[in-house]
Amino acid sequence: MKTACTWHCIISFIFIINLQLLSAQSKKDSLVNDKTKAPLTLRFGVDLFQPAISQFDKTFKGFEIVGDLRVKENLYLSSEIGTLERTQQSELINFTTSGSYIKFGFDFNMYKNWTGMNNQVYLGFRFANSLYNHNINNYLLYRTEQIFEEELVQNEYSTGKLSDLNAQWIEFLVGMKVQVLKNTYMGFSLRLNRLLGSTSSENFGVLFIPGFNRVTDENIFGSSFNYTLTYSIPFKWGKSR
Amino acid sequence: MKRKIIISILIILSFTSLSKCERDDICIEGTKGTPNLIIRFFDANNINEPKNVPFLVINKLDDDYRDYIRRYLLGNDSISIPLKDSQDFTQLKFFYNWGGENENIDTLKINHDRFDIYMDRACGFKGQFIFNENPIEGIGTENSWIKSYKIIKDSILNENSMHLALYH
Repeated sequence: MKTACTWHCIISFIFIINLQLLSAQSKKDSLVNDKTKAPLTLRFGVDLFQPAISQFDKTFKGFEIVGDLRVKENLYLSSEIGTLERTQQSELINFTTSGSYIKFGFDFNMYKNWTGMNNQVYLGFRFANSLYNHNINNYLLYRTEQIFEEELVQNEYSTGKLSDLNAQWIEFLVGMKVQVLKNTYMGFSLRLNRLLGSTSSENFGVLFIPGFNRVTDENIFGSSFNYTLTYSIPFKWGKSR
Repeated sequence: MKRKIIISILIILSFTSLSKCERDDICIEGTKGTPNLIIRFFDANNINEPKNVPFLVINKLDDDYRDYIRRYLLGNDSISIPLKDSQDFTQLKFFYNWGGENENIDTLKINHDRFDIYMDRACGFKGQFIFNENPIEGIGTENSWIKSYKIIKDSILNENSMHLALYH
């Protein structure tokens, strides 16, 4: 996780620097925004962060596809679909979470582009659902005094697979997308998640949900982020004059 | 101006999500974990009368004579002992009047099953025990100081009251 944080930090800074360049640029420009009616534009891409981490971290495997459809000048319908498998040690318990998630919602662009550009600084909202399994690999029993040697419980007892778990949550996000090549965008988003509901097995808690990430006890909020590379399909539907 | 606000929000957000990584969960002190077995000693001739065991010492099978897991110099009629979670039995040596003239050692074998209960993220699982069909072995022989036993509660879920009565 430490390496993940470092990477997150580095990439964040690159984007923040980018953003400042962007705002400096637009100040110099004297062109008035040309408010032509925006065409429907479809954009597809992937999250770069999860595959990158999968390379470094043997306990993590993840993949996320992102897409958005521009429906109004500043309004986009957006979705993320992902799958994830992660093994982690949470205090005394070692468990693997595997599952997939779908997020659906909209982004509202707040950035005023010059004509022909499509950069975005946006606020967004998502409704998300995840279907996943937990597998408890091993654990140590909690004891207040140690007299006998501690032994890892590796099979039977409460270890094993807990399947068919699901969770629903909403996300508030802030993010940006910057055109780096023709029709190609890089972006990132930071998300605040609020859990709406989740099923938990009788003898284990909800510690981690794919897409939502870590769930803390007695707290329905979580956070996540992604770094995306997206390609805008050049074809545009009707509407344009 | 608006842009500057957005930038600062982004910076703040990226840092708050970083600090989240450092968050740590600690099991609150005093949380009741895997329960110990509560044993009380009674008089074999008058089974309702608690009776002290003089200089009671309890240790593990492979312990030296001087090692102990429990030691009651002044004797005691109520003790708690941990049960092993790596096996389905726990074997312990019970010394009657340790180091004294009439020292007597009984090796108790307590047979039990276990099931584990999830508590929370920080504390994880705790074990709970159930006595097997033949719960106590190693007592009631000619030389043993513990004459008989009685199971008061067959499941060891907490440490609120006694689970096992031993008569001597």
